[in-house]
Amino acid sequence: MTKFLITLTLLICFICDGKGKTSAVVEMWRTHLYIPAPDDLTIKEYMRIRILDETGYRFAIYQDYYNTFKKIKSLHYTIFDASNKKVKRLSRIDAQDIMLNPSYETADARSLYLDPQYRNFPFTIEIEVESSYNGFIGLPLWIPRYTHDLEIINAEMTLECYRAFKYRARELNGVNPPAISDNAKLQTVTWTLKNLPAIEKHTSHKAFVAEQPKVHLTPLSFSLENTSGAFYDWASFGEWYRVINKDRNSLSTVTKTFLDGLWKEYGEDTVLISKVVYQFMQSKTRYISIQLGIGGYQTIPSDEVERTGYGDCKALTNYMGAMLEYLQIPSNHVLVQAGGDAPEILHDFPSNQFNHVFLAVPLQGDTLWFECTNQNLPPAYIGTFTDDRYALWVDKTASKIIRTPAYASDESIRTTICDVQVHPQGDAELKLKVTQKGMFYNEAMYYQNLAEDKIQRFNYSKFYYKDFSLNAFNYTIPDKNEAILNLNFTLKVNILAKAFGTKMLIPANVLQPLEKSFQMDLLNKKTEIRRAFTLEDKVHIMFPENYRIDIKPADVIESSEFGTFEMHFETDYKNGLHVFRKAVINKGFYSNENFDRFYQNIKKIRDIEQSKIILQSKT
Amino acid sequence: MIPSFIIPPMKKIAFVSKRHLIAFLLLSFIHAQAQDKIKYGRVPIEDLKMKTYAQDSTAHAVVLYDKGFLEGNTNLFTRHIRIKILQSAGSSYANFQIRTTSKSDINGITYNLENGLVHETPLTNDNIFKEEIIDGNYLYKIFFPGVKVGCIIDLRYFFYGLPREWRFQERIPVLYNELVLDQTPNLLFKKTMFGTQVVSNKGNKWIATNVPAFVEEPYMCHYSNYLTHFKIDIQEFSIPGRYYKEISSTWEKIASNLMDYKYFGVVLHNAPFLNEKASEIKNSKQSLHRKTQAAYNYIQENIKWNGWSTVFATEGYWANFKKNHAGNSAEVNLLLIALLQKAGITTYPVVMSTRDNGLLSPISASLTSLNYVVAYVKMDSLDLFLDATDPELVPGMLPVRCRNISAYVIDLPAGWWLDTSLGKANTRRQYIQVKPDIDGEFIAEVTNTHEDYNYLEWIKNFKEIGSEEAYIRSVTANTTDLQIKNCSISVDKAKLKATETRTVSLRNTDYVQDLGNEVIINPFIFNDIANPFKHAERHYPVDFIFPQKRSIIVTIKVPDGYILRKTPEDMVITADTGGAKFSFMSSITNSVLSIRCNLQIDKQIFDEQEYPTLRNFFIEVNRKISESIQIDKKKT
Repeated sequence: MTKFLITLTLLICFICDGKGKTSAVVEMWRTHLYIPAPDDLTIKEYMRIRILDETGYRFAIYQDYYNTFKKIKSLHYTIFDASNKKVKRLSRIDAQDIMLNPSYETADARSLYLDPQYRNFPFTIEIEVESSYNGFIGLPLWIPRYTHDLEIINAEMTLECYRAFKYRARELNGVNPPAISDNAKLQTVTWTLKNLPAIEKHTSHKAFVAEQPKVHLTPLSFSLENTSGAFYDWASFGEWYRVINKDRNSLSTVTKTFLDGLWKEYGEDTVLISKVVYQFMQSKTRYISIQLGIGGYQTIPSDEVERTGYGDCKALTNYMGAMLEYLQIPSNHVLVQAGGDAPEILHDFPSNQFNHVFLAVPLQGDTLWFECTNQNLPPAYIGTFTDDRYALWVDKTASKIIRTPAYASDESIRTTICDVQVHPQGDAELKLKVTQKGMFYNEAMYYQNLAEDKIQRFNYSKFYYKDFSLNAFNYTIPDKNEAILNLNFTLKVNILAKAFGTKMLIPANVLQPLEKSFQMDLLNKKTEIRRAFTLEDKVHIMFPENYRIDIKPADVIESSEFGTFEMHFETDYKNGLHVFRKAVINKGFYSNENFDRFYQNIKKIRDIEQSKIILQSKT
Repeated sequence: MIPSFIIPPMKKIAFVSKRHLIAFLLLSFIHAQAQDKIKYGRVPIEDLKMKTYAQDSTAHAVVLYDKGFLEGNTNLFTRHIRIKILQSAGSSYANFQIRTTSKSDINGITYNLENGLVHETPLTNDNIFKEEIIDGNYLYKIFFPGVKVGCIIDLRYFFYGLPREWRFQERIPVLYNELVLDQTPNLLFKKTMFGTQVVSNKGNKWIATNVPAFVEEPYMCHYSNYLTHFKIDIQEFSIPGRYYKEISSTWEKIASNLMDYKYFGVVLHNAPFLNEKASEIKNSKQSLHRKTQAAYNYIQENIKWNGWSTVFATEGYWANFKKNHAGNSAEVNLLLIALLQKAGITTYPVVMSTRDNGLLSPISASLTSLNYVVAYVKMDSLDLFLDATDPELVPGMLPVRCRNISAYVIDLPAGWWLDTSLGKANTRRQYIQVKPDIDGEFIAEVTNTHEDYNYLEWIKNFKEIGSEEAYIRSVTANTTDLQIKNCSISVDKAKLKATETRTVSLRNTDYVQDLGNEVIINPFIFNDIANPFKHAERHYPVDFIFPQKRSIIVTIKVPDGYILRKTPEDMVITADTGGAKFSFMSSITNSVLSIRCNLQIDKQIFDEQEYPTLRNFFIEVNRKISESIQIDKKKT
């Protein structure tokens, strides 16, 4: 047994100098994109990677997908031991061919998975893969250091294409412009990267990816299954999407009759009619993802959605659009990169950067946004899935990049009204009435969809008391047309207050500390506040009978570039105290010195929240 | 690798013509109609009118009816399940993944009530998708059409043979569930019952009614141990041209069968590549303990676990040891047993089921329940479990996944049961020194020692971070409530022990409050004692996995000019159920207050009746360690 004993003491002054753990080293990674003729793409990759230890083993596992448009033609895998002796050769037939879709999805993509089953660390692997494409809409993003613990010594991407092939490239975060050479038939473009060390693990993968050296690459024109499109500008791509998805909008007579009825009932009220149609669509459908062939881009016809009652984002959006079209209400498909924490797309780099579509109904002065894959959302609720980001507005010959609406701090609000009864021992009963709007309404989806035990776990995770129990809970959504979520909690908190001698201490803030609203990467000094918001609490603390207030904390208003924070304390004529807390937080991304200032601010607020209300026993 | 005496997947056995199938299907219809009021394809209008499920208003959906039926003469198994969708979140219960021979073995209808009339939408082939998961292993994905809130779906499908389990309980409530298993001349099987719900039995019929939705709770062992279901093991199966027999009627038989099997017992005698090392160990003049350790180290260094838990070696186990240095759990541990035995150390194979594979039943032998094997050395004074799959483990310690109550020691011609909950604990010791610094503020030096299972958790995190420097950086940056002035760590792998020492300033923190005339000190810094049981009710037993030990020694130097108000009261708290004890003792000498706390959970499992007592125990412990220490300024 190897016994080791390390003792290490150091002063904390070089926090940011450290590099992260290296689990594997890419000695060479060559990516060769070969386009000898239109629509003919072959990608050859060669990788030589030194696997250092068990955590680096994941880099030794080869995994890639194939589908209708992409074939993996060959795969050669070689292992060399620590003394560089060849010990094992594997190929495509050794790989497992698997398909694992979630229960609500079917697709034609399959995965090749090759686990080399060799663990004599350290060792070196060489992988050579050739894939061919019949039709391609995009080219892969080149990002050699795609995770923090991978060191890159050499990486190289070459685009070798026929001379007339048009592409667009964007080098980011320190990648040098490519070397370009031509011969009679082909042009060759080569990007290289050298010596990227492993770095510290980031709390946010998005923040990590945003900073990595990388190259975006896209063809300027493409064809896919008898369709052809272009990325000359956003309008040309939007047009391709529009054309392959048009005329798939027929509706059944039953639906038409229903829609005719709406016309009669609501007349010209476009807003109301759109909302009613949306709710009709929600009641008739559910989200099932079906991605087969060009079906990754082309919708299932609306009559088929009517028949089955399900579809993916394209199909449900198209169905909703078809109904509005029948009512002569214009609507537009909007392509986005969806997700609460999705990366920003390159809005000045027309290429396929989208994974989702939803529907917009443009109205004078305002636009209604309809997320069609959710059965419960109130009409025109945008939520954190598609808010505040660049998106492609698909419009006949005039598709363009737009910015979806962002929540202002006065739209995303969580207000809490809380009654606290403190008992002589220091235990307390809390009754909370919480109202959540804007981005905070997102939680409604958990409450509507999770099973009871998961809801319980979710609720417990909201409170930070050392020992407590949740004695009652319910939620209500008073109006299904409005994004307002009400939550009611009854809690018993053990030792909320500390009683000693003749005194008792109660923290100024008995609710969730403000800092829990942020995800801070303290090690890398980064935090992103993606959405502005407001928190507002009114807490009424009732003291035990024989105690009276001795010292209450001073009122505070703190204002900074990050927002405002205030707390006020008002003695009750009875035996209690009103505590008022309000935080209005701006949107922002803070790193390094900005992060230091942000964190200083957080610490100041922490001190205020932790300051004590001091009670004195009357006896 | 599936050994030859384990039954191949059902679909491979079901070679029967279409015509044949239809005939069998008709038979099962007649049978069902004779017995039941509920028929596939006929849904009472009251069920369609139902808005919520009376017994559980939160249910997203409810299983109205679920019947499985094995027809004795044909071995045809038919399932008919009817589900009511009550909320939109329940619509996922209209998606199924099943295995049958073809799409035509699946029938389904969705019923909706529209304007007072029942509207039927049949399931068609377009709603069924075939997916090949891996190597000829197919399943059908079913997406019911026309699903709306309030609808009822009826699904019926059949296949030959038996499912591996039959559930009487689901994650949604079940109104009625029935399983009928006809006597069959050519299919011999065994059922093992799990769970706590009532299942009534009459002859070959089992019925459960009004079964509540299954809920998961924290500190619970694998859910399958509590979900009410039958685990079904096929023991003998014959149809013309095919025959299969499993000799697993008793654990003794399973043991002897395993020992004869090429990829289990035979491995122990067929690993000549270990002979040289074995004789080296055998002939060395070391103690038995050292010899065991040497064999263990040799295996641990030469074959690493590939992450696959199984009880059988593969055909390639020679190459896996000699060339790949990677193998499944059985290869690692069978080779360990082989080496120990060859070295003359009395060692037994111990077969078991890992925590995520459910419990083993000593009274119901089942080969298919086994998914792991470890070594057990019993010789002279040595009495040790050994598992070489993890580089951080040592002899005598099983990985967490193996701490699943009981395991079977193979000692032919029989064997015996061993308790896997014996052995090491999850231990953490703390030494906290609080003293005034030169400025009259307080600083604390906190030493946390992580031992045994607590060490394994610690080292896992440590290895992910990679180095001592990086670890200290990470701890320093991520400690938000205190400012760390100094941090050091030391690791002793052989003793499964890691020590972290941190010096922190307590200025302006919740740990020290200066109120002018008095100072309040809360000295329990960086401790992890909390009440894990927030919920008042409990349905299933609590599983701590291993004994838990926490010890905390606190010393507080009372600064000059101050006097301790009073020494905290000594206290001993025990749970009436036994198995949990806490003690708190304090004393003061020369202006230094010392507190000694010990928390010990000796029992691994507390049943649900013991839960309130256990929860109360933790509440009281927390109350005690939350008490503040008060020192007063001396009056001059």
